[in-house]
Amino acid sequence: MIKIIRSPKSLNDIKVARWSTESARALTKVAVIDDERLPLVESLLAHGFRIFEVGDIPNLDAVSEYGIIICDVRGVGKALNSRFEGAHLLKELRYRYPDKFLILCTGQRNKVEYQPYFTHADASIGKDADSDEWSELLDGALRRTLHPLDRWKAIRPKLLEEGLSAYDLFRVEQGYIDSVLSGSTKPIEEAVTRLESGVQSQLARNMLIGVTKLIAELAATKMIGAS
Amino acid sequence: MSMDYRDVLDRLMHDMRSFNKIIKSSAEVLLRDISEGKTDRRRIEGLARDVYETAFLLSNRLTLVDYEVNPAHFSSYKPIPISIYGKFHKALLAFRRQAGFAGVKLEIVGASYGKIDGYPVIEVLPYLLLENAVKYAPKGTEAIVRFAETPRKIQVAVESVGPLVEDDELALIIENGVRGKNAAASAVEGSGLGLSLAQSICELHRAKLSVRSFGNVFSNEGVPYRQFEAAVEFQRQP
Repeated sequence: MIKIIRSPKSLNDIKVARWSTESARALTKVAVIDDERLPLVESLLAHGFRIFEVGDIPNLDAVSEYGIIICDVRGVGKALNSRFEGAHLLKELRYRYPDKFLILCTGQRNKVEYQPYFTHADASIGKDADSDEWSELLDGALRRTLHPLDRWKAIRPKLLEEGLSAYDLFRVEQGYIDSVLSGSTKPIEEAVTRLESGVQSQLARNMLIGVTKLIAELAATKMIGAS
Repeated sequence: MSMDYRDVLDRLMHDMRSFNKIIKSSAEVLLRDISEGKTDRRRIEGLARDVYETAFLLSNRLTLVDYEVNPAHFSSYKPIPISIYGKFHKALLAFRRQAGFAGVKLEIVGASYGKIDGYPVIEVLPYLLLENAVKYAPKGTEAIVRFAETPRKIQVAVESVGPLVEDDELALIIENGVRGKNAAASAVEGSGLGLSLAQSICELHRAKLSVRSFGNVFSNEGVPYRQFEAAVEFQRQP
């Protein structure tokens, strides 16, 4: 039975109170899936980005801890055994991690036949981009990755797809809003444990763990919560 | 629109060779200076800058091919905040060498601190407009990039001297990739596609590109020339 005892909060109530480029760069880990060295990696590290070159990955779990993933096309995704290589890997990463920011880094942007796979990325950049282009793109990616509202909007439809009922989704969303506004993970954690339909899907569980972790990180750096 | 890959490749090869020529000659002088123990820091920096800036233009040119061949790629992502002034400033520095060789003075006037919601392909827009201005401008003339901004808009205009564009050609050169008849009559090589690609990138950014040919007409090697301006009006990020 549905019983709502208070006025629901709106997603529009979510605001990021404090924000600095430096703290955003320091907070988010960026994985680079490439069989070669990322050009300008030293320069990006010097800019304060937390870049980790992970090479080709044996499975999708290998990048679970990263908020932003940069993915090459040639020479990666070998574990998937697809002729579309990294482009196919992008598609799988998107399915597994709907709220992570995926950046396609390739010299293959003119490959029309790869385009259906490329659309799973959030952004693309050429292999010969300079450090200005990289920092502009990564700062934009951080804004999206660390913005609680954007993150929630990315996973909400996926949670429904994964079998969460509309009522449970509503309750989790209210817990999420409360957590963001208070800067405490308690409301979202409580909402998740009280779910009526349970969370059968591992993917949905991962997404809920991911947003709870984000709230904890943002609260720890005072980027959310009561001012 | 059907894609003529041969034409894309021919134009690319032509431009790659021009860029490569500059990179090789600058790198060659640089290596010789180093092997001869020359320590003129300013000269060495200048040569290294020539290499970097030409490579920057070369990257832009390659991105342009990506855009010509697979434009859907560039509109399939969400835009990010971009400093359009920064893009023009960077391209202007990169074009200064080419402009200097051609005897054309290249300047930027005004500034803009605002950002636009842009796609990475916007990098190519200054390249297209400045390349168009510098290659047609006769020796001893100026090409000026003017910036102005309001709380809602950012305007950038590239003004230079070029072959006179007839009134009935103005819309065609940005909409249809048609080369003006006086541009075709000049000694300058060109495909007529530059401004129509610029228009396409502007449309992607919901920006308005306009062109005009104005001022006194004079003859340059038998071809009528006049002031030419390509202006873009962007919506500024709130």
